[in-house]
Amino acid sequence: MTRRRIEPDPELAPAVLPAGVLHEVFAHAREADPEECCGLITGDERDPWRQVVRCRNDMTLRHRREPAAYPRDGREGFYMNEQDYVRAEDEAEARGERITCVYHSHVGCGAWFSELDQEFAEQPLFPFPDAWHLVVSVIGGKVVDQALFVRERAAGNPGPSGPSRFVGRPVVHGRW
Amino acid sequence: MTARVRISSALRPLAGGRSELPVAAGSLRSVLEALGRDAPELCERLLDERGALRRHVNVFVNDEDVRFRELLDTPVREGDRVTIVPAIAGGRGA
Repeated sequence: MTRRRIEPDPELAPAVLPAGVLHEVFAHAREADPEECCGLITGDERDPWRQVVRCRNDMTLRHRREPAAYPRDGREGFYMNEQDYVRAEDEAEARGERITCVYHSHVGCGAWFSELDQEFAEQPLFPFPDAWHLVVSVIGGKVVDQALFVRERAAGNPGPSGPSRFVGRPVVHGRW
Repeated sequence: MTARVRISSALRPLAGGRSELPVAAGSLRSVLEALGRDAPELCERLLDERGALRRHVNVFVNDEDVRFRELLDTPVREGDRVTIVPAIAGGRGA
């Protein structure tokens, strides 16, 4: 399947995210620079943006161990540490929450949903098929842009295996 | 001689909602064969048509990724914990 990166649609109303959540994600992205950061956001129906959980990016580790299978290092990709994300999922479940968003940074380029992002998010076993994806762009050590992507299912095909596509919208800071 | 297979919450619908399954110890291959009898839908998604682990799935025996051990020949001993987790990855790319 040929994929092209998905840019946020400027025609769509921006998503408003809590400023505290964005500040935590931005701080993680700046600290991880020049590598990409990754993590999860947990919440529930009433407040989907309750907690930011940082996860380790294992891409450089995998690249060093098996460069043929993992041709990129952490500057060009992320590979979320599985133990970190399973723990985050278990702890969220114990609090009556779920994973509502997967976040990561792009270093040196825009906040789009890349071909690689889509490849993993579309795989049939992706653990959070209906989660949002928050992508932040880090250039010159600063977060310069952010966008939110979500799977949009075709009408009449609500199931996880039905036809779908990702759409993106810009993100602005809320006042809370 | 049993080991435990831990199923992450995202995969539980494929395993009848169970979070853990007891299996006989042996190799990872024999564990997955046993899992296939108990939860065939799950097993189908873990292995490709050649019987190899699919690219987007990771399996740990205790805390060790079998990709960095002996893949399906990784030994699973009594009391070991086998964890199956789909990959979350992506990034800007080249």
